[in-house]
Amino acid sequence: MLDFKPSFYEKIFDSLDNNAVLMQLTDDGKYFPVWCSREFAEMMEGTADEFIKSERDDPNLRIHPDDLAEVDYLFRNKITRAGDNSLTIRQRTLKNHWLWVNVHYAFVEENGVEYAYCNCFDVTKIKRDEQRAKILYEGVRAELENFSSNTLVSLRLNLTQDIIEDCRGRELYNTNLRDEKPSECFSQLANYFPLERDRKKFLDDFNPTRLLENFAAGKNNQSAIFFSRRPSGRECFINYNVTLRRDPDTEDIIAFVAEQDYNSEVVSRTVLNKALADQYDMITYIVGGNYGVVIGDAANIPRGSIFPHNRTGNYEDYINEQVKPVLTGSVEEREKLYNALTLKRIESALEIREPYEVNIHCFIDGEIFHKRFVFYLVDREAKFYILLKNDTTKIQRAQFAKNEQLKNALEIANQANVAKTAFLSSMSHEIRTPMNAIIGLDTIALREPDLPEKVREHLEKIGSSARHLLSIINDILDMSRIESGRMILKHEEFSFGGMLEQINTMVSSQCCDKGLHYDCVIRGHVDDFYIGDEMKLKQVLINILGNAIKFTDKGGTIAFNVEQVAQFEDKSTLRFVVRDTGIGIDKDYLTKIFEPFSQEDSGTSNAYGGTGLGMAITKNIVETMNGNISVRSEKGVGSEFTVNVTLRNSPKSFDSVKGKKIEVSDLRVLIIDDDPIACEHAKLVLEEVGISAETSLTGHEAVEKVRLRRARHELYNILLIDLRMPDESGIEVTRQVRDIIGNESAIIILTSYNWDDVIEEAMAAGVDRFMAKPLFASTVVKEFHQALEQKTLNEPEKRLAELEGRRILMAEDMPVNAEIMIMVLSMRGMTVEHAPNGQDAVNTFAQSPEGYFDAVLMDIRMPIMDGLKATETIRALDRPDAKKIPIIAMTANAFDEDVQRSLQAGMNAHLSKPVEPEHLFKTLQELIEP
Amino acid sequence: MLTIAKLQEYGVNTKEGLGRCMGMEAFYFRMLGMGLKNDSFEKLDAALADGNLEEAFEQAHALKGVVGNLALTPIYNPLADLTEMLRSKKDADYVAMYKPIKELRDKLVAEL
Repeated sequence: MLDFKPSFYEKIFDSLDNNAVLMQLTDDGKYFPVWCSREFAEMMEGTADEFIKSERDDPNLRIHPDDLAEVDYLFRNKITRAGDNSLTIRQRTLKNHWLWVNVHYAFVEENGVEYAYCNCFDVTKIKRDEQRAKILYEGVRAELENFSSNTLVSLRLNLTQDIIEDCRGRELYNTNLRDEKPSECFSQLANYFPLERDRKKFLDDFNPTRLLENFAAGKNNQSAIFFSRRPSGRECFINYNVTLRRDPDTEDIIAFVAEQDYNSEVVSRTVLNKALADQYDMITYIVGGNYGVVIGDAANIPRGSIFPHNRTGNYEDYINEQVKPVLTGSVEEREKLYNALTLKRIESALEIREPYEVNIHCFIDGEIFHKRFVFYLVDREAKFYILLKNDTTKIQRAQFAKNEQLKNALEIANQANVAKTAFLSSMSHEIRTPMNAIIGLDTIALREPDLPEKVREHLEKIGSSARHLLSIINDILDMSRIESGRMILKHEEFSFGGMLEQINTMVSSQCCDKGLHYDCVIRGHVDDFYIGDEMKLKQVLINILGNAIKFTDKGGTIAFNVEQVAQFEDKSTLRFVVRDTGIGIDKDYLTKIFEPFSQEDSGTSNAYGGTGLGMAITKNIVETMNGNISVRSEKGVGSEFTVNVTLRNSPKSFDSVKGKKIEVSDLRVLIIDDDPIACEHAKLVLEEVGISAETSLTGHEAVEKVRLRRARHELYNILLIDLRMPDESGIEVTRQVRDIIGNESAIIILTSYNWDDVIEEAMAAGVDRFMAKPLFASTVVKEFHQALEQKTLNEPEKRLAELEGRRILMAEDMPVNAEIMIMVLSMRGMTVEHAPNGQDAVNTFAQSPEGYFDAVLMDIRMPIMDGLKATETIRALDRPDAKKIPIIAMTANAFDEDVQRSLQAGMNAHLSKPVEPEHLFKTLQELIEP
Repeated sequence: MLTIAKLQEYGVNTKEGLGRCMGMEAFYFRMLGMGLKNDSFEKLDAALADGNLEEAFEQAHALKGVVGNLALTPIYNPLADLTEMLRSKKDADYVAMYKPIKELRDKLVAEL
C-alpha cells in the first residue's frame, strides 16, 4: 500500500468531487494512481484497490493507445493549459469496456512528491451522440452530394453563412455559383424555369428564408417537380429536392440541393396514370399487411365506391370494414369472395398464377356493382404485392346485354336454320313425288314397242334429266339431313369387293365414255367383308371419283388406290386415294372446298354443273363415320383426295357366304303401292333385272296375298310397301303382314319422303329397311341382296322338327299319288297311314290314341267325304290334338279361292299338286311341333 | 320298253318326275305304270261321252293330280286346260279335246 496520509486528501477530495483519482508522478516520467474515490472505482467497474493495483502494474494499460501520448506529454512536463486543464481520453474499465472520460487535472506537491489530481467525468454517451451526429451528417452529405446518373446539379448552401459552399453536376448553370450568396443568386435560378407557375412556386417555397423557417418548424426535406429549361436549351422535368441539416461541427444550417432529371419518371408515371386510370380506379401496393394507394381518387368514383377511406392503412382492416359488409350473394358466395381477398389466399394464389384475379359483387345504395381485384407480385419473399382494382359494373352490364342480344340472335338464327332445313326437306319431298311420276311414266313409255326413234330419244333425255334432277334433290335432302343432325349411319355387313366392283363398273364406263384412263389398285390385303354403311361410303367415293372425272380432260388419268392401313381390335382403317390429272384446284379455294354451296367460281360451276353440295356432303359423311378427308392439289396438274375411314371387321368371308348366294330369278316379290304407275314402274324395273313381281294396289289385298302365300308355304322373299297409302300406311300394312308371317320375308318400305321421322316406328313394326322412290335397276338388286343377307344373318336358325319317325295320316283317293307320297315320306323315315277318302281319314284319326299322328296330309277332292269336310270334322272332334294337329291340303287346285277355302276349313297349309318332296318336307318341318 | 330317254322324247319332264320319286327310277316307272293304267282315264272318257260334265270334271281333276305328280307334261298340259274348262262348265267339244290325250296315254301304256 502507498505510504501517505490519506486523511488530509480524503477530506479535501470528499468535499470536492466524487469521481476523483490521485496520480503519483515519478521523476522518470511515470505515473500511477495511488488513490481513487469509490465512485471513480465504480465508473471503472471495480473496487478502488483493484483499480489501483492493476494500474500500478501497468499504468498505461487503461488508456487508449491513441490518447496515451497526450497524457504522457501533459503529465511528464506538467503542462497546464490556460484556464482549462482538461482533456478527453478513452479509458478502459476493469471489465474492458471503453469509456470516453473528460479529465480535469491539477498538479500538487506533498513532501517532495508530485501528484496529479484528476477529476473525471464519463462523457461516453455525449461523445457517442456527437459521433453519431457527425456520421449522420456526413452520410447525408455524402448521399446528397453523390451524383446519380439522374443528378443534373448538386448544390450545398450554407444558409446560416449565406454562402454556396459547393456546386457540381453534369448540367451546370451558365455562371459558377460557388461562393455566391444564395440570397442574391436565388432569383437568378428561377430563370431556368420557363413556366410562370414554376417560377412562382420556386420563389415562394424554396427561397432561403422560407427554407430556414421550414427547418425551424421541423421540416427538413422538401421537393417539387418543375419544368426546366437547362442552360443547353434542353427542356425537361426536374425534381428539385432540398434536404436541410445542421452541420454538427459548426451548427450552421446546410441545404443540400439536388436537381434531378425527372423526365422519364414524369412520362412513365403519366403513362401509368393514364393507362391504368382507364382500366383501374385504384392502384395500391400491399406490404407487411399494409396497403398504400399509389394511384386513384375516391372522387373519381361517383357511385358504388369501395375506395379506401385512408390512402394508407391495414389491408385486412380495409377489406373487413369496407368490402366485406357490402358483398352480396348467398352466405356461401359471400364467404367465398371474402376468403378470396384475404392476404393468406392472395399469397397462396400468387404462388400458382399471376395475376390473381377476384371478381366480387357488391350491393351499394340499392344497386349491384361488380368489382375486380387484380393482384400482382412485386417480390414474393417480401410479400410485396400490387393490387389493381376496378369497377366492372358497366362492362358486366354491357356484357350481359350483349349476351342477351347474342342469345336472341342465336335463337333467331336457329329458328331460321330449322325453318330452312324443314323447308329444304319438305321441298325435296314435294319435288320427288312428281319426279317419281315423271321417271315412272317415262320408263313405261319407253317400253312401248312401236316408238318412233325421235320420240324414244326425247323420252331417254327426259329420263336422264329427271334422274339428274333427282340426284340434285337427293343432295339437298342429304345436306338438310346432315345439317339437322339426322343422318343415321347403318352398321351392316357388306361385301367390300362387291362395293369396289360396283364403283369400278360405274366409274370405268364413265371414264371410257370421256376418254380417260382409269386404274383401281388394291394395295395389300383387304377383307372380303366389313361392317359399316356401304351406301354412304360408296356415295363418298363415287362423289370424289365423279368429280375427278368431271374435272379431268380427255386423255387424263384417274387412279383409285385402296389400302387397309391399320387393323386394331375389331376395327380396320381403310384409306382411299383418288388422284387425277385434272384442272386442279386453286390454292384459295382449297380451304373452302368442303363448304356447302361452294364451287370454285361461277364460270367453273356453269361449265361443270352441280349443286356445290357434293363435297360438303362427302366431308360430312366421312366425319360422321369418324373418318377424315383431305385434299392436295395443284392448279393445272391435278388433285388428290384422301379418305380414311374406320370400319368394323366382319367375321364373314367369301367362302362362308358362297352357298347363300341369292338367285334373283328365284325371288318372289310383292309390290304394294296405291299408285298404279308406281306399281307398274317398280314391276318394270324388277323385270329388267330378272325379278318377277306381283303387285297390289291396297294394303288389304296385299295382306290377303301374304296370307295365302303363307298357306301355300311359298312366302314372298321381299315385300316392297309404299309408305303413304290412302287406306293404310305402309307401316300399318307391315304390322298386319308381320302378324301373319312373323319375322319371315324382308319388308322394305318404299318412299319418296324422308323416313327419319318414322324410322323407329317402322322398325318396331317389323320393317327391315327403306328405299327411296323411284327404284333404279342399278341399285335394286344390291338393296335386295343386302336386305336378304341381313335377314338371314340376323335370323336365328328356326327350330325345325325332326321328321324321322313321324306318323302321318294321309287322305288320298288316287293310288298313284298315294303311293308316291308314301314312298316319299317313308324315305325320310316317316310312317304313313293311308285313308282313301275323307271319311276313312276322320275315322282313323278318331280311333288313334291322342298324339299318335303328327300331321295330316289331306287331298281335297275325294269320294264319300272331301278333304274340306274331313278337316272340319277332325277339327270338331272332342280331343285336344284335333285342334292343333297340322292338316295340310294337297290338291291340284291352286287357285287362291281354293287356298282360301282350305284355310277356312281349318287347314294349316295348302300345297298344290304336284307336290315337290322338298317343299313338303319343309312344310312338315315347320308345322309339326319340334 | 319305255326308257327315260324315250319319255323325254315325248316331252315328259323326267327330271321333275324322278325328283318327286326321290330319284328312284324303278319306282318312278312303277308309278308311271300305275298312273297311266289308272281307270280314271276310262271313267273320264265315259263321262265325256255321256255329257256328264260334273263327273268328267271330278275325273279330270283327279287325273290332273296324278299326271302332274308324274310330270307327264304332254298329257298334263292339255288335261289341265280341259279340267279348267270343265270347272267353269264351258261349252266345248270335250270329246275331241280329250282324244289326243287318250291317244298319247294309250301309246305310252302300250310301250310300258
